[in-house]
Amino acid sequence: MLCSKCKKREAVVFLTIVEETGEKTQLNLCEVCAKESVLNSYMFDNFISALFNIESEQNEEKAVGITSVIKCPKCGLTYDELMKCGKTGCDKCYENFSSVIMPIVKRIHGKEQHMGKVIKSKQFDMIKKQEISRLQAKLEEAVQSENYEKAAEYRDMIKAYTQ
Amino acid sequence: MVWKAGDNFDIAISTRVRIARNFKDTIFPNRAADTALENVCLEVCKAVINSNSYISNEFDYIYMGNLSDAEKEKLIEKHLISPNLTNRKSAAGALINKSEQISIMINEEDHIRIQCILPGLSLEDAYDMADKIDDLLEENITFAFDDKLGYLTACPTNLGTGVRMSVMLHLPAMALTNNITSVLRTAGRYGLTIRGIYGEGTESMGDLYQISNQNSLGMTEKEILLNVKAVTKGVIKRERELRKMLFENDNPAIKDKIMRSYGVLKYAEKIDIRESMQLLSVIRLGADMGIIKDLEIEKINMLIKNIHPALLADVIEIDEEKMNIDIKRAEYIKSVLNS
Repeated sequence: MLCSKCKKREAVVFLTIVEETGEKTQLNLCEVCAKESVLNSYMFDNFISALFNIESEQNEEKAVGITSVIKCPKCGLTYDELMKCGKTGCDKCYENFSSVIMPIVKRIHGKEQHMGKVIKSKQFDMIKKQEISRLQAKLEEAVQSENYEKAAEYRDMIKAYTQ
Repeated sequence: MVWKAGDNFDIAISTRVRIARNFKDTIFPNRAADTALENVCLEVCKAVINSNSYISNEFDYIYMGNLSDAEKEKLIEKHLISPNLTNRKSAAGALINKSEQISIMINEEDHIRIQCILPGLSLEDAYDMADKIDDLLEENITFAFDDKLGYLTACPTNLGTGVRMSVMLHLPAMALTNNITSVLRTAGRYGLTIRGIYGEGTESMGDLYQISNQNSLGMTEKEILLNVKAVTKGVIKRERELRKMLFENDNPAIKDKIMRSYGVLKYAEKIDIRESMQLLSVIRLGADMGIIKDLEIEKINMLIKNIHPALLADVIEIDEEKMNIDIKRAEYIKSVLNS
């Protein structure tokens, strides 16, 4: 996704600004524009004045307003705090800061997809997924050996799982 | 911590498995309000103590707010709780079972940290125990989980399985022959880390090192286990080879070092923790290689555990100001070695 400000670089900071009315505004920024925005804040003018009623033209005050905007709506962790301590504040931080956390996760673990134990409510989904991929392999095998009757059977079984 | 003999006990002192879990929709301990965290304590206790499982009677709940500093220190030295947990004055605690093999820390960095410690190299048993506790808790608690990232934890380093498996190893021959750094490099290649215990970074006290997995995401629990086990076995094999090499040709220098260390421990009037750990490491090697006769490794293990300040105060009387601690430590070591 491209940065909504410069429209050139890839966006890495995704902000959801929730107003008191519950109205949400999505803002996607590249790193350069995000930093610039925090420093200069000019592009946030409308948001800031709407959110915090800041009318002053002083940059400092606006910068304070903006850093507090880049935060997890659930636990209040700000982007700066996350970068400083490297720890999330709640389970929703992983969604809210997804664009900055995912590259870090990949750097730490070298992988991005969980394997292994899952919570009970997901166990059925997991079995289903595994069963579908098993049937898909069987289906391909049947097609290869031109056993179309069997292939149709597997196709129907997969259909039953996916419906 | 259990310091009795176990599998590969000459080198592997203990195995620890910990599983990190968090409550769904509850802010993590570092940012949550005390009221929310008190509720986490309550829910975890309820899940364990009110469960139908036979293990429910085996656990005691220890509330951080009710512990004296000395009691906290003792639990830390036994590796049953972490220093991090004791930083919290309220809304934190631990469920510890009677045999002190399982502890469930509540509101440490994550809401739940299940930890199992077993003697020797016993990754399978330790993981099974921790896994059962995880299942038991899940009967009553919904955990924070994501299809992609697995179990969600406060620190991204614990995502995925939330599992860390570690083995505490005694590596005196490797330390004596300056082989620790090469092992460190090898471990790194397999996604594992080795670090000194009771020391900072790679420095270690008493040549005790901990080997553990660095990554927890993208591998199954079994894969992590097999990986840690394979590398640990490799390190154990190397340590054995080096021990053998050290004692080839009746090496008098090393024998002298061992017997002198034994002498100091048996006759010193005053000894600090660092020196005693170092000397105990040397005599542990000597006992294993048959240089010191009639000295059981278990006895040395007990000393390595008990000479730390809080636990020492439990086995021998010490002034409140701990002014005489080095004298008392020497007295205690002597009494055990001469018994």
